[in-house]
Amino acid sequence: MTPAGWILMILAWGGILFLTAWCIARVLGAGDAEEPFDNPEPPVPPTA
Amino acid sequence: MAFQDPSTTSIVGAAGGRETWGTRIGLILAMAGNAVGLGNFLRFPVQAAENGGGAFMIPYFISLLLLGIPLMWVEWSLGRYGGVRGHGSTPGILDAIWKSPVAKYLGALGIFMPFIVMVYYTYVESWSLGFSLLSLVGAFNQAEGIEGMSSFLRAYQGAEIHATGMFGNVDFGWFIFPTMAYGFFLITMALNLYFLYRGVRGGIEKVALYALPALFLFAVILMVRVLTLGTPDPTQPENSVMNGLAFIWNPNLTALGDPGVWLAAAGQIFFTLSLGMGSIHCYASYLRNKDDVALSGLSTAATNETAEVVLGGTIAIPAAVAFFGVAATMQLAAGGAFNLGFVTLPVIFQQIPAGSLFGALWFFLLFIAGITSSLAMGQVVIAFLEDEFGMPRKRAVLILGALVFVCVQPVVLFIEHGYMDELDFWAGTFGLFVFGAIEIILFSWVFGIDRGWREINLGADIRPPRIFKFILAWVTPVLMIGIFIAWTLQSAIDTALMQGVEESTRPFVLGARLFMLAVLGGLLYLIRRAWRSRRAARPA
Repeated sequence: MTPAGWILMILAWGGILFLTAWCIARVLGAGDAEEPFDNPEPPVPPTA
Repeated sequence: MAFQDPSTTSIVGAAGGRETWGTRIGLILAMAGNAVGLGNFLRFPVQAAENGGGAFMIPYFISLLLLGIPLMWVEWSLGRYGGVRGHGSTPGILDAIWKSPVAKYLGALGIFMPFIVMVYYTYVESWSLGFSLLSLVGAFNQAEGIEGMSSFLRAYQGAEIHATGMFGNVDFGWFIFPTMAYGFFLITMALNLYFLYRGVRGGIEKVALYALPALFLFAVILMVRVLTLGTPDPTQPENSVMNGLAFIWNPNLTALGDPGVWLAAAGQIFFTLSLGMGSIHCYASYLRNKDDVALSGLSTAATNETAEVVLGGTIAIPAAVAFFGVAATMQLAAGGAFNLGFVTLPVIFQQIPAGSLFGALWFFLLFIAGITSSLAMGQVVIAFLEDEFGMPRKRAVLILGALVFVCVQPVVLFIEHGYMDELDFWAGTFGLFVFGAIEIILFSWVFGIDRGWREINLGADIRPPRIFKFILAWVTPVLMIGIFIAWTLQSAIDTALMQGVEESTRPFVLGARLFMLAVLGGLLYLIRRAWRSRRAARPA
């Protein structure tokens, strides 16, 4: 495999795995991953 | 107030007495299960290898950012918006965002496509189950080489009679009845209907909670096995896993100048995320008003990409190159992604230790990927019958089962005559772009980007970057319209005119078209009836 091939593969894999891990961490960190949905107040105010 | 529904063991308590998801992780896994399908493991590596290798990933990721993630948020938001108003299918959802008599009829596409695709997809899914068991009992040993395995697959499908008569096919002269394939189809259909009957929380979510982790586990085991294949034949050092990875990832930067490569990348993002289908809307309709869609939608897309780029790209093609070399793999891939999975890989599994076990794992992985997607398609039809006709779930599931059973017969019997390919092109490919273009135009330009952006941010656990508001307003709609026009010019006109279709196949192709028109006509009639009944029932 050429160096460019390696770079692209590592960037793609790294980027996707990082995004997936970040998302799962955020979902679990929200504390309601295994609880029934219940968001009484939206944490982000609606934008204009 | 929530109460237990004894027929479905689901909690009912959302607006309009509709079911809701049990847990957030269950919803995300179910959504990911909807998106992760056969295409992640079969279509993606072939597309990458055919369209510039590593260079393909550049338009692929740009499409993910400009098309995939924005449309994912749009479909989640639209689904939740319709769901809290009592609609889980797109006629009701589009009617809720656009007060025009036309809106609900445009939404018919969001039921038409999942239904048609479910008809043939469930059959293909059943092949995976059948092949998984056939691999486990060592039946592939009956087939020798690529030719032998092609013949094995054709006999299983009923395109020919196997020399040993092992599939019990019956020749009726103008068609061959594929006894074993039919049996596995019935089992697969029964499983789908059972899980659908159990409901959103008791069936679909439970399946996802077990199936998705199993799918990832199987895929990682297969990936490790493929990566440790090395150079299977030392006399042919160029046939190696490393060259297989190079085949997918070495960039051919000149391909970036080819508009076809950009179109292929955008198409792959669209297919892989199950956009423009109506199933994401349906699953999201079981959310409550202020449940997050921004983080959940992004998580779904990210999970799907892990299955596709990291796992899907590391199994089929590298294994094929390790055993057959780059030139032969290119030829095999040109024969279709499907051949790669059902012909090439079984031949490889015959040649490695414990191959029948790895073969069974591979096909069971495809089966899991398939069933988690077909459940999503079936749920759309059930939601339509439940929400718009007030039908009990049990009856809705029975009707769906009867319809799929009747409609799948020509798919099974005329598989050699292009019937399934025709359904796949119009409902499984072209229709997605049509509906994708319609929904983004309605969301951004009719519903309005300000209201749309507020919907995406309502209850959000992450703040989507503001640049996406501009992307949603202009970039995604313009891109979708462009892709729709390009696809029409590139494929739809030739296909519509039956260019290159053999004379003997034309009646079957026409039959498939008439069938689709009948389904669409029936849907439009049902929508008209449902809305009339509702209007009549409304107090004066």
